[in-house]
Amino acid sequence: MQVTRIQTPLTLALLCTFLVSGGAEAQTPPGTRAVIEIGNPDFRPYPIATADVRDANSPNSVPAQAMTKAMRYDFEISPVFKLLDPKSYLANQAKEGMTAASIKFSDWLSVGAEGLVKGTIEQSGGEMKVDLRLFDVASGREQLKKSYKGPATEDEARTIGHRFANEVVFFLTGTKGVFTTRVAAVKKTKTGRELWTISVDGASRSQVTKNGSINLLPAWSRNGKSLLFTSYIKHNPNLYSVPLGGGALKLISGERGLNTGGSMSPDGRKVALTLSRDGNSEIYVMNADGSGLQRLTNEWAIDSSPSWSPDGKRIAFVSARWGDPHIFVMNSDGSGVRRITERGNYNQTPDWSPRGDLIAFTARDERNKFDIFTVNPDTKEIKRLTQDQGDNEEPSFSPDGNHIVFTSKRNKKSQVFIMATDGTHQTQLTADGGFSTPAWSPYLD
Amino acid sequence: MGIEDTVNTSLAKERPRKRSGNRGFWLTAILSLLVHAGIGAAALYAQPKRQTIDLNRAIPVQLVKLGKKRDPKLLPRIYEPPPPPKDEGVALAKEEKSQPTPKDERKKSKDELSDAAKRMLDSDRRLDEALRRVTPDDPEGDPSGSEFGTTTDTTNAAAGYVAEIGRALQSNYRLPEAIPASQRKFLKARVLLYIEPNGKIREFAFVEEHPNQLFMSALDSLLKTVQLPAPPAAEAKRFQNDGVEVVFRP
Repeated sequence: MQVTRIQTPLTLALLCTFLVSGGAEAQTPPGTRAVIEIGNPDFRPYPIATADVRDANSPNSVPAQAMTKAMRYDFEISPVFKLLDPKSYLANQAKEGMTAASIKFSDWLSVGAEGLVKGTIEQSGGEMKVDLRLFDVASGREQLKKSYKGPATEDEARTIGHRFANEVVFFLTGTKGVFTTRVAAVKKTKTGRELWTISVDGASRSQVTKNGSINLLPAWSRNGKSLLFTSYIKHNPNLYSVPLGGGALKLISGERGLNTGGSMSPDGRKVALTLSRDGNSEIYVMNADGSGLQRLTNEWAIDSSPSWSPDGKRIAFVSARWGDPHIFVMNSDGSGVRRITERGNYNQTPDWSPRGDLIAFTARDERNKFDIFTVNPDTKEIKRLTQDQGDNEEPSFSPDGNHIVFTSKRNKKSQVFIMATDGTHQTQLTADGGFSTPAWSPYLD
Repeated sequence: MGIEDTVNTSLAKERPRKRSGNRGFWLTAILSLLVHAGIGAAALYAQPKRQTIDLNRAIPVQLVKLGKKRDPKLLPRIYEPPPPPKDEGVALAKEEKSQPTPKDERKKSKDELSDAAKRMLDSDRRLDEALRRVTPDDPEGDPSGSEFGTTTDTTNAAAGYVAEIGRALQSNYRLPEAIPASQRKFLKARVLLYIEPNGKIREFAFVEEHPNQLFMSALDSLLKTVQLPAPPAAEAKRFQNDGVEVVFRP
């Protein structure tokens, strides 16, 4: 609809006055660059339907159900997809086959699907052959087809489901999916704290340490085959490395005092860490084998929690040099220190996104609640991701930069959660509590 | 000198003064007419008499909430927090596959822990106890805000020139039909625009490209042809030197 307005002399005069007086004030502070988002206002995540995976021998076999559930979970937690409710599907799935010609796409179109995932399993002698496909519903064309083989177990079926979901994400977005990655976390025990790894769907866990001591702050090696962590096993909080396939601990740093917050550089050659060997916590860098120690900070106040930028040129860290703990960034040689957080008075646990555009951190707000925030290291713009759901802490980015893992006490016990980087799609991974300092792995395949 | 001569002399003196007054009046009148005509012509040239308003083009505004002004040093708050997770979304993990314990590790009870470890546990417990619930403050906003407002952040209440750029780009943002529907949802590119004081894009540079060539060439074409409004004089240098970042999404 259009409306015509006549320009009157009064409005002309007002316009002249406005122009003479200098116009509007600047909305963004000098030195910062405005960001404009241009897009379709009715943008929706990609609506995808996932049909029940069919087992030729047994329609409701455990592997078939596990595979279906795994793929639906992956599309559910991903912010770029909208998983359509399986209860709404109109298609007669029992009659449909795996080829485009055998699928009645109008039934899928009518429930709003733009993408359709279908799969079959054939079991024989304890092994299974899996056929998984992605179809474009509007054109009725097959877009992606993958075949897998493996033992006919629930675990294997779930893994295959996640692998195919990764393929779908990569086909549609050009970015690798993270559904076969894992999260390392500390779990409280009766005598101390132990390290575990947890699958991204929370369905499987693996205990990494079992020494009855206090093991803290896990960080992944760049190849995902070992964890760096701090342990009190030798009484002093030393930094160790433990291989995930099993094996002895390797001492990385055993300086007097704290040896904590180990963080491996993107090229895997260096480790940044916090040491208090001279009495005060400072940031150091050493070679991955523990040699070549180099001090980066030298302040009266505490400096801790280093996190590398994805290009390895900068390090984010926490410093209380201006009174309250805040997030700072410095070059990887210790030069060019810059304060990044200007708001709040208790900001900690920075984690630099693999995309490089954000640093996630924990902050305590004016209501004494801990929540997850992100800050753009260049513009210093802060966004809040969690609020009014208990204490939420210790964020760690997924390797694609689309998700964040964190701990939350919203259900009293400290649980591991994941969410999209805009704070949506929050999903709980654990139910038995006592978890802290989760760290998302790099790509593992 | 008689009375008549005196009168004639005074009349002779007054006559030129009267003519001079009339000329001044007409000069002023003509000058005034010219000035008014000039202003009128300039106004007609600068502003069309009839201006159309497209009511379908929404202009986003944010009402500032009535209340106490939020301290800019405080962390931001969300006014529509994300919904809590669904119960069925929780996948309960089963304990499994413990890895073999390394040879040099042995089980310890709490009594066997080192003093440093005990101190660490104690400090952790004290921190847990120290976290206390605080009653919410008075409603925050702006003393001159509206009770129907939705935000406390007055700096976001107007987008100014940046919004004008957004509208200009939005109205020219067209992508070819040939891009497959299944790929359209995932197109994304980020570009830096450097804008001259007259609104012309002096230079643009993509900082994030998408592999879809149809999408990229459409953006290239858009940025080469679009005419942006001129920035406010006070901000012109900033937009020319620092530029503005634009994220194109589906």
